[in-house]
Amino acid sequence: MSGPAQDLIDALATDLAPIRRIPRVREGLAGVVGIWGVVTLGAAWMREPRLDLSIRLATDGAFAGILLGLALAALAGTIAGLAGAVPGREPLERRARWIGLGGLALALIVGLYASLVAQGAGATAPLGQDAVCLSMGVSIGLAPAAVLLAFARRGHVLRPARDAVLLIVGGFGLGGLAVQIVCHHEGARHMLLGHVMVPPLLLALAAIPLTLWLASRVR
Amino acid sequence: MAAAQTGDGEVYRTLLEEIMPGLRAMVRARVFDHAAAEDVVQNVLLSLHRARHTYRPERPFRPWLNAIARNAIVDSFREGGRRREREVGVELIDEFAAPWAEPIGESEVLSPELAAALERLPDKQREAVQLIQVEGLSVVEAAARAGVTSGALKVRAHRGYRALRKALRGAGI
Repeated sequence: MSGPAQDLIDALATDLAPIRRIPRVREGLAGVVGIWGVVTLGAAWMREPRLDLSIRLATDGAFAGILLGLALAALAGTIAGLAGAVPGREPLERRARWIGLGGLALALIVGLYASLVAQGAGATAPLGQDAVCLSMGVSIGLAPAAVLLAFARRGHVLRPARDAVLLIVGGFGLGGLAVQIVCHHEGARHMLLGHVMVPPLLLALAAIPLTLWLASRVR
Repeated sequence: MAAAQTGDGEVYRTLLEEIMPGLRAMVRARVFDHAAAEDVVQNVLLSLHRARHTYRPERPFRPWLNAIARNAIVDSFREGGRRREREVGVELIDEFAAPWAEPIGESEVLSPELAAALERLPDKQREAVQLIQVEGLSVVEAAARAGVTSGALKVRAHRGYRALRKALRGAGI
């Protein structure tokens, strides 16, 4: 074989430097969840830890539905975000993406339905608590999102817009999930506005800049 | 590929040569113009090289290769007419960027540290850096002058920039 392609192969193979492999997807997942766990424990410690989680899960359908939706969005979104940065992991990315986005949709639908049905009845959070929980969710989500971003930066992102969405849904879904676990306030409207809205808010604010940044890394 | 990741250039060369027929067939099924197809093949090779750290030995090689190749082909299509322009401006891509903002120019005096670092580069890398950054030639023109392909010149310049960046950082600049 000869010609330009052969010249290029020769140039690429000459003085080839050893490189450090990207971590496995499951190692990335362990890193993201580990960081999230530490930050969430810190947040739970700063507020009083709530001990009625299992009782609420059994008795409050909206709470359980939102928790399940956020957990799916966070974990599947994280897996999809990690897999999206590794060529050849498209089947995993595709499955996780739909589960993650489905989870976010589930949390939004359950929250919206419960807040409409329960409007005017049941417990409500104090005024301003929605914003407090929302900002707490964003703060907690920053750490796992940063780990996800670092992984994507090390990887080879093939679809910047898709990966930006998944990184945000995964990272800040974990932020919303943490708030859902540690927040003491009840009321479906509060859970919807203060917890579930963490990933959509960040999607609205950061999806485009993140897409442009990821695109600039791969182009 | 696992051996190539440890820096074994010969194994890497053999691997790239072995996958070339398949890559060519994949590209030519989509690009009918022979010259354009060769350009796309070279872009695929460069993408593969840049993404080589993302291969994991416990995963099958073919899906990894196909994903990168498919994406590089789609990118080449998407860029269309801008591709040639981007090749000329390859110094704008981070990985291939020179460690200084503007071409130096023949009339300007190099700093002693930069001149010394440039002098220490291997001949081929120094030639690539000088043609692009000192003489201000485009990649295509520089490649023609050096008698190599644009892709090969990009790689030489990239390695030169990397070595210069390291040398300048070592000198605290």
